[in-house]
Amino acid sequence: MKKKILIALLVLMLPAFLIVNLLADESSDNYEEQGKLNSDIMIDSPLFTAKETGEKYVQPESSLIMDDFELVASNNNFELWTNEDNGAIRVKNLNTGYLWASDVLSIDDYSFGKAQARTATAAFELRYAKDNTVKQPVNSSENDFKISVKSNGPVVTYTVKNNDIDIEFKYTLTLTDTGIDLKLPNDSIQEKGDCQLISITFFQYLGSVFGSTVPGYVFVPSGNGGLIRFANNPAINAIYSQSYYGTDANRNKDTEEGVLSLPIYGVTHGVEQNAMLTRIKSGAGLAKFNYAPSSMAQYTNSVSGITQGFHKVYNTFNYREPYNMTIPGASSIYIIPEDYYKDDVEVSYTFLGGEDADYIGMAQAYQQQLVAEGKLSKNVNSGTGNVHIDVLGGETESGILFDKYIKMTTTKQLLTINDELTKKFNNHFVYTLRGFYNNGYSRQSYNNNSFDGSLGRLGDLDSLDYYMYYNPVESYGKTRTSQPSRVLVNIFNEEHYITMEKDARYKYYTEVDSVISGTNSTLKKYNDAVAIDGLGSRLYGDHNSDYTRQDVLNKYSELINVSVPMFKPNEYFLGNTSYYLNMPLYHDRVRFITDSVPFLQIALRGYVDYYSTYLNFSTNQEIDLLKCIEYGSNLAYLISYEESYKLANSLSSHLYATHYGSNKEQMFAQINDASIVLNDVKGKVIIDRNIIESGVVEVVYDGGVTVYVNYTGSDFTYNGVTIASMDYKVVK
Amino acid sequence: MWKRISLLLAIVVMALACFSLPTDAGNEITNEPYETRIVGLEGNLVASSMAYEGINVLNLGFNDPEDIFIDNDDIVYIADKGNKVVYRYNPNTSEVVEIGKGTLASPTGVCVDGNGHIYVADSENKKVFIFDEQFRLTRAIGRPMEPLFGETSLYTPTKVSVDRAGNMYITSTGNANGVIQINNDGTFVGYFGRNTTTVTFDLLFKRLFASEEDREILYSLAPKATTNVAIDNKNIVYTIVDGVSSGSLKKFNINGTNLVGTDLMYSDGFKDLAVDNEGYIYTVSDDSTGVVTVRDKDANILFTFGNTTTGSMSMGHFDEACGIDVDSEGNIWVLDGTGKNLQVFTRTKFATTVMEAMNLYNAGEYELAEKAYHNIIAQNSSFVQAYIGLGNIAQRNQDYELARDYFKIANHKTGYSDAFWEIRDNWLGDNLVWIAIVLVVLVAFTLFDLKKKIYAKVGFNPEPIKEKIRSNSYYKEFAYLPRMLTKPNDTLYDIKFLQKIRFSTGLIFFALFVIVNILCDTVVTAYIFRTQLDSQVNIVFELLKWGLIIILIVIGNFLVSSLQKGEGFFRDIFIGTMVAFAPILLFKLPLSIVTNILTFNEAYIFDLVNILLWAWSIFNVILVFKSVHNYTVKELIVNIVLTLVAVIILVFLFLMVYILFMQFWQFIVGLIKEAMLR
Repeated sequence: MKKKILIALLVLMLPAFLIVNLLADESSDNYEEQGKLNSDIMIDSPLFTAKETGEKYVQPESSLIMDDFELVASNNNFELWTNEDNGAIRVKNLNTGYLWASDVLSIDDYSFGKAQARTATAAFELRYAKDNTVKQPVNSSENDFKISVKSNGPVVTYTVKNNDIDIEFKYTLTLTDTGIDLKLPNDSIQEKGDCQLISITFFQYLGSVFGSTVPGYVFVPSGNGGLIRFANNPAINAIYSQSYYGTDANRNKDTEEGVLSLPIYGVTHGVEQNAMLTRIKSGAGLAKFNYAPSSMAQYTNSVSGITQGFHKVYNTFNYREPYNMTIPGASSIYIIPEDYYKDDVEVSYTFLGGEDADYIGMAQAYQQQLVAEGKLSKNVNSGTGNVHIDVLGGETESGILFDKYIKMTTTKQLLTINDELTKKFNNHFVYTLRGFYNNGYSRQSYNNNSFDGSLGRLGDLDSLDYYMYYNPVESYGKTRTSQPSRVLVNIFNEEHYITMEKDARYKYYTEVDSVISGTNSTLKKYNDAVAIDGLGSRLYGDHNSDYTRQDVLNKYSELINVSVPMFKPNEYFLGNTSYYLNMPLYHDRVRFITDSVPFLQIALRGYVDYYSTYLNFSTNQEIDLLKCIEYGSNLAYLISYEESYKLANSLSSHLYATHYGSNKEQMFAQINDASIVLNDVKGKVIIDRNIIESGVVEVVYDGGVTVYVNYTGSDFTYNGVTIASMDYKVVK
Repeated sequence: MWKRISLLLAIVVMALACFSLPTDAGNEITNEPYETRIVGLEGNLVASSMAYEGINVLNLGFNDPEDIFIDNDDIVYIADKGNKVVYRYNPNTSEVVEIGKGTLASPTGVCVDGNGHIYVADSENKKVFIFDEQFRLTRAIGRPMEPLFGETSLYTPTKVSVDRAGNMYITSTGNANGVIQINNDGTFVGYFGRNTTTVTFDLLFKRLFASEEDREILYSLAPKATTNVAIDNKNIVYTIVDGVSSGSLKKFNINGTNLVGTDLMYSDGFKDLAVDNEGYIYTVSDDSTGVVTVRDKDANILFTFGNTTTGSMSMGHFDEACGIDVDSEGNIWVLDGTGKNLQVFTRTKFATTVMEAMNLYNAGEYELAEKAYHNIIAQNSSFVQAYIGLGNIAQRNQDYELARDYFKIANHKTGYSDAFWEIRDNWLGDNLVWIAIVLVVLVAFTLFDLKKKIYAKVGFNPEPIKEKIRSNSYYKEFAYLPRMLTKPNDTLYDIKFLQKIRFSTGLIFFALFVIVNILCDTVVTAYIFRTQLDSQVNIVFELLKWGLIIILIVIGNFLVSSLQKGEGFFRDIFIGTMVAFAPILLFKLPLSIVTNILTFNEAYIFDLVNILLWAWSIFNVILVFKSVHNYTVKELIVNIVLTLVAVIILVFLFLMVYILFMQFWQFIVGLIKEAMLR
């Protein structure tokens, strides 16, 4: 009976299912159509280069009085003068007549206090510690310092002693054909008493500019290059201070700041008039780049009546890095390391005049220095329109009971993609295989270098120019307790980690010895077909193995003796870089940078084959494609065969735009566009770059090829050549 | 009950897991200086490429800038409290005019009407000053004299906004009545958009121990004063409230009714808001991530970007953002009070694509919208709105299977249910004949007892097999489960006095209970009826949830009743409790299976049956306690209350032991590490 009722009920319920419920009508509010992206808004932003005003700068005669200074060395191009009391220097460029000074010229015109005036005339500033306390900085203008100057041909030796502070050191300035060379060998530093050297800053005011009184800019090696034009009221009110190789993970708990691309900076006083390029040849591991904006520490100039501060740019060399150590159950104690870093410091100052006195000239001068040192050699096969395809293989997602492995691209699927690409294009495709080791991308580690068989056979790819992506430095943990093996333990005896997105993704660094052994074994395993990431830009020491940053820098530069593809290599790897991958198209977007310039691209064009950041992850693809064309940069993509939403619950959820199928039409059009230009300029060097009008750029290559790019919303005609809006033109 | 307890457990587990605050780093792939997030497939915020790119940083020598307003001609006004002035900045000429110098004491809010008149809220002078287009002071609006305003109501103007008719909307610190509305000739019209308070347990608890002063200021039961107000070009008024997490953003129609929900993802640190000509809402907060948020007209989040970082010099990082406005080109101007600068952001191509798609869809241009949605997905495959849009379009095109797939990706259950409804409807239509045939056969089988006839025909006698099964000891014990449904008292008598069910069988019931519940909640129940997403399921937590709760109740009751002259032994309580859950054990699985052919239209069936099953089970448990211990009703009530108390005490005890153990463990680990590293 019960059964019967049940079935009757079921039969009755069925018609209920059949009743049709219409979907509610969707609301149809009338929205006006959105206007197109106004590229004209962007071209005046710090993400583009501004047009030069052409304003010239003449040093006032009155400022060129050389009282207190003596000529200590000279050659055909320069004279080196020095003040024997405080070691201040002035370099006269005999070709342009311009005087570069480490002190402030006509200093009496400014409302400096006495102590401030001493700082402004000093050659160096020293910080030291005594009785476990870091003291106020002292500078060479103060009475306690005894500086003896000895010149011997082009070499001038400064011996520094101090009555109160028992730290002595000796540095030399060598006059060269291009400028001066500063050397401070570590064995010349002597701590005789109980004073401990913390840091030395040389020539704080060299290249400084009062407010906007000098037309020109500071060049910062941020991203591919940035300029800070001299202006009143810059956007920041504090000193920007940045280690060239980023924060040292060995000395930090959980912070991470950016890195600079090269150990250099530059200053221009009057564009195409005078410029200075500073390069740290040795000791960049100790160095911090500093920029002090003119919005700080303001003075009044009695002649002009202007109240402003000085734009200053200088390096600080940190020989000791004190830190606070928390002791369980007690408050923290302040630790000043016993030993200072035993590294030699060498800085070259190159002075440029006339047409070379701008960021382009600086890039070319830097290029020539690297060529002379054998770090760069001409590469006619560079910039030929190769395309870098970074392929995502697999990823692991934590599951209910077991982890779930997500195949994003198998070798077979990669071959399909390659077939499609090679059928369409004659370009050479460079593949880097990311996440093809066991268990996928986020399980990367220095010792995880076995090809994941579930994605296919590596042998399938023999016909491709492929490289295994390898980043031995970074590894990830889902929780703080499940950290990977051999992670860096910092001076606080804690694993250094960074919290990443999705709340529970922790990034760890690997200890240096394991990085080295892992890299060696991986290079061997894949016959050097490895694309190396992580080693080239961010450096950290390892106190457990007693390595300073400079030690690690030396170890890394010895580690690789073949040419391999590198992700964002700094200078120490340029000699071993076959492909420079992920070269930025912008600076790091710090607030005070006013212009974006392709310094890296100009310096390396014709010598290193470089590739852009991933275009499919770009938020302004049209603009970025034009940037690649303007910069002569090969294109790059990070792709997967499968749709990227499959990664949404994995640690790779930030790889949200990899799907090849969704992106390929865009890719094809972009590769097509770029190839036209790159074919015409392959292997060529950039010799000039001009902003014709805001948003319209002319790039001149050797051999008489010129590329015009128009980023504006309207067509532009120049010398009879019309460049369409958001387009380019090659003129041979 | 279950939900509450599981919630409690979840909170405890989460509290244990949260021992470090994230210091988010940017995205290594895109190299962008600040984070941009969008609403992802699980309704949470996920990474995205930049929606807005920083294009300018302005520093006019600000001291303590508090508010920004951009008029119809894109002229920018900044109220600077520190410099006691309002700056008028023309972006085209870079010309700067200082307004109200000498008059203003503490300008904290600024606004300009269609005639170019400038309204400045001055919190120290307690007035709203009005300047004409020549920047001359024309009027000052002081405290309203009307009795309606309230004798004790505070008037400390902090922000001001003006509608097309010239009505002023003034926010005042400490005035909980709402926004003060004053018309063009200075008459007080009334209060607008009063906020409500939600009295939480937490709040009451804090009030209990707070000082008199704190009780009034920090833990007041009065509603919060509105923080800021904005009016769009259709005269719609928007308000925000700082320091509340629910309903902190409101959009009012002319009647003062809030048009947006209160449960959307809101910040509790709102400082300012702006609305553009198309109705997109822009807010700024001092949250550590997501300082600037862009929302559609229904206040759904589209993008959120920017970080609060003290002393950072990167674009998109703020010391303490406090003001926001949008110019006619859609550029966002964000004022950083402590950082003393003004950062300007412009829409990237990606953001333009998103807004275009939304506008196209709303305008009914489905084909174009579809293309735009695909574009969005190519650039960010986690953009949930794009999948929902595509799902809706597929639904419109009657491609229901495609729609269902898109809704599945988007975790959009209503959409999925609607699409599934259509699919089911089509299937039923296509197979009506077969369904009818199957039904007829089934009905015939039962009505005419065809089974027996067939058995007889083939000469099959099922009786011996049935007999064998019936004599199986486990079968006998399992048979008590259905018996519990019809004859609970007899069943409990058998359990208590005849001990018909072995303890081991009780354990099997227990295991079954845990397995059935977990299986149903995670796998068997249809996708749309599941309460948690696959990725959120934690098997350990599930085991604890279902297993521990039974154990706690049984132990708790045993402890209490042994003090309370209960007759039941532990085994009786345990087996009784397990049998009490017979409705769940018997019907939950079939119910879960049935959900697979249900849509939200029939959700009431599922909900009703589910509630019935649990209510029945709980009733049974109470019955078990009563009859096992042989209690009177009064005793029973005391017993139940005490059991609950015991359960809570047990949980606390467990937690204490756990925390102590963890601390001890960490101490040991630390000790070993210290020894190894030193």
